[in-house]
Amino acid sequence: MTAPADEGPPGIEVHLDRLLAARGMTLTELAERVGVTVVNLSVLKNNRARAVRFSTLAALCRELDCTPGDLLGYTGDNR
Amino acid sequence: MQGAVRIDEADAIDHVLFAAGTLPAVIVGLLVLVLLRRVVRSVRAGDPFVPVNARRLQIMGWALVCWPLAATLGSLAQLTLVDRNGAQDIALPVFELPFWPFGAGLVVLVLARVFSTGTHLRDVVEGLV
Repeated sequence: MTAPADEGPPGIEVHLDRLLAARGMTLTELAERVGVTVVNLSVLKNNRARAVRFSTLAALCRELDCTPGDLLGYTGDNR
Repeated sequence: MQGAVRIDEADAIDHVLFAAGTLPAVIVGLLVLVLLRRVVRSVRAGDPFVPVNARRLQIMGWALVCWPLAATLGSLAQLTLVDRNGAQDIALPVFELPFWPFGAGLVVLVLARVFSTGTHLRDVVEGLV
């Protein structure tokens, strides 16, 4: 069974909303700082991204002062 | 020197051969035009780089490449028509083998390949943040 086209890889969770709330930052602010469009960041926040560039991941960690492990989680293979 | 041959009391086979003189090339031409119109409509809709357009371009390319063959078949039909009616000594159909469709077809086939690669790349980066 494969993931639908508009969902990210199965078993990967993105904790962006949690980190934004903890840092008191809006999605728009973060998008400006990271250099990614709000639309793309929204895709990531809603677990609909299929891939993330390392450069984007590094920029997110820099601006949110976190590690990739704080931002991404693995929930196991749900297939 | 050019002239015209008139066939009195043409039978059904004569009519078929007469139509076959131009029909293959007309069919190929119509096919290309119909597919081209669909490709243009997708451009107007703002989304031309889709797999179906790669397929349409591929069919158009092969149709153009085969156009000289269609023209040859048409000429053979005309020759047969002239022979059947005993006019072979006074009328000789001209065998024209246009090469421009062959070249154009190769260009379109290359474009089809570009479209196919483009749609694949688009699939790869879709959802990439």
